[in-house]
Amino acid sequence: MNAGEHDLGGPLSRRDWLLRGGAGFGAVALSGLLARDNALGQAKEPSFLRPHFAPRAKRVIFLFMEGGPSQMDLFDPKPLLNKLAGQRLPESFKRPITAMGEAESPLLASQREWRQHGQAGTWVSDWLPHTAGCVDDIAVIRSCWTNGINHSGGVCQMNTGQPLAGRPSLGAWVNYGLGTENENLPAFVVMTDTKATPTNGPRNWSAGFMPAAYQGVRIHPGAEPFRHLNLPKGVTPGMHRRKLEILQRLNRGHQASRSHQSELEARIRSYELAYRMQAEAPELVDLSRETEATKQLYGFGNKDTEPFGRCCLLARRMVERGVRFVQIYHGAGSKWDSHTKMEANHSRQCRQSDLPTAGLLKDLKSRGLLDDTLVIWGGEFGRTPMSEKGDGRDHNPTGFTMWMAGGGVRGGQTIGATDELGLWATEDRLHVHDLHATVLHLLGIHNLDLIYHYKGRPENPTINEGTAFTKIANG
Amino acid sequence: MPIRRLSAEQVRDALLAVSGELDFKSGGAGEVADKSTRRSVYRRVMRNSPDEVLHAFDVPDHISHMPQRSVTTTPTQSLLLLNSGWIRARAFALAKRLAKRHPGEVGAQLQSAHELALGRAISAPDRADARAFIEQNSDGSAAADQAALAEYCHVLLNANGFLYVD
Repeated sequence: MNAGEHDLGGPLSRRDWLLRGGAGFGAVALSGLLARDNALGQAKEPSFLRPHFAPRAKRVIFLFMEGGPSQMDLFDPKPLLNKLAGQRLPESFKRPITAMGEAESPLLASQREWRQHGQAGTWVSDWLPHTAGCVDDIAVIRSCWTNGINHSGGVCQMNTGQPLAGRPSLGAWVNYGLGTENENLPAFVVMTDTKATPTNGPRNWSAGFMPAAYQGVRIHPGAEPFRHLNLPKGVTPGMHRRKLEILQRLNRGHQASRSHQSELEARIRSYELAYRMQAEAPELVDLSRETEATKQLYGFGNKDTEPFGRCCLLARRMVERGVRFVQIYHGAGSKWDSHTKMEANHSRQCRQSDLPTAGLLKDLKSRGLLDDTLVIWGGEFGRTPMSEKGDGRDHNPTGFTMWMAGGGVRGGQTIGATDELGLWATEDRLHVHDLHATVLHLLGIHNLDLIYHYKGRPENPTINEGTAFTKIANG
Repeated sequence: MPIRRLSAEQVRDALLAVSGELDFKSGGAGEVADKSTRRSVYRRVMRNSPDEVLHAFDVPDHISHMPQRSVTTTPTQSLLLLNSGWIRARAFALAKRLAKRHPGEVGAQLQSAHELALGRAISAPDRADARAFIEQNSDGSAAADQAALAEYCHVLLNANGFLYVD
């Protein structure tokens, strides 16, 4: 078998195991686990298929606010900013390189009203009243930083660890490492609130140099959630079934004189799996059995909140059914990008996303799913305290806020800090690699020990860097 | 000898070759793969909108180096081969080709279909299966016979005998 071959269609045949031999009966037992835990059943095993240590989170929902939400208007109040509004950045502040070169533009006041919320007294602005109600489940991280200064680089890095294209997405790594819990559904699913494509498109959820089977599958809420799921026009279920029977018979005949070729068995199984997916996926996206109360929680019936709310509700249904990694883009196509008209932009973005986000947290919690489902909120970077075009803010990769909840995260925390104007992360600075390492840590994976061999080099998700911020977790 | 799955470009080119549509013209500007019948080597690469067929069968992404291609076996490939309009269009083109080659002779059409798609003669049981399938799915008119033949050809284009070489 060549190093580049992967049978991803199902468990190995007994004959295949006997032919390979050498690994003993322990390996046969492991194979059983492998086939169950990792429905895509690799013939060439990844570096491991079970967590390195006890996981706190089993699944991830990543709410990606695409375009860059403004930390000093949402989670990171800066009284000094309003005091110095209209002036230039004081000399004592190091000048960052920003996308639009606004380092010397006048500082822009935040017009928000701030209050402390929850038992922990977490600061949240009046733009996120519903999220504010959930802060005791949330760990706010005010000290994130990244290298990508533009959208393409930033979104690419937040997904894959580096601003340049070509590496596997975090979801693909998790899929590779842990596999799926439901072999009839993809392990890594991507949704967008609108039909718009996020910056970089499918590269954000690609498997990079790993086999394509680990990539995210974009799902389209509606009659055909996955591509090519529905029977073509003119093909009845009866005819479809009959065609598959003929196909399997042809394949068995072909296999008869090639019985030691496990790949053929895998291909036959992949058709059985495809058939089951056709049965299961429509049920996944069928929201008709959700109660009115649940739909209310996610903002159904309101044109602002329903699109993202629908994605969030689908995400809950997916994690319930064992999907490992769900990513939802809110504001797909850089809609959080507010170089001008900060107020109008973020008022709209928050109005659309705040209630469904809180609804998701509450729903997961009431169903006991929040304990082992990690929810991540954030964009590719934040925004500058300096103004742009009078009433907007430039990109800020040097200090911004994200939050995590559930999946073993201790809620009611505020981690790290930026400087007095929210420009640079100063305390407990967490680079994207550290954030990814933290996510992997909560899943029971050590970031440097999840290895994929590529071009003779052991590759890992955080490019030999990154330290998990373990204090985020309970206990 | 281990069997070998056709590579992405081979899958696409073989589909077009079997259906009789492959355009052997050489040189000139590249074309979008799913709107062209030219050989895959002449496709235009668009990194943010990869061709579905080629991508599903592990064509490199043209972003990072690929010293050795993956060879995956996935249900996504099966769903694509079963339900994609582009793949089905090849099956219908093949049926048209067969009907033109052997008008009204279902036996000869099936013989040719197996030779073209699988590179071997049709066996007696396969012939019986195929005939029964066509009878079941046709009212006996020439057009309905050809449509049912296309559905059968579609099965052949999904078969391991098509996708793998020894």
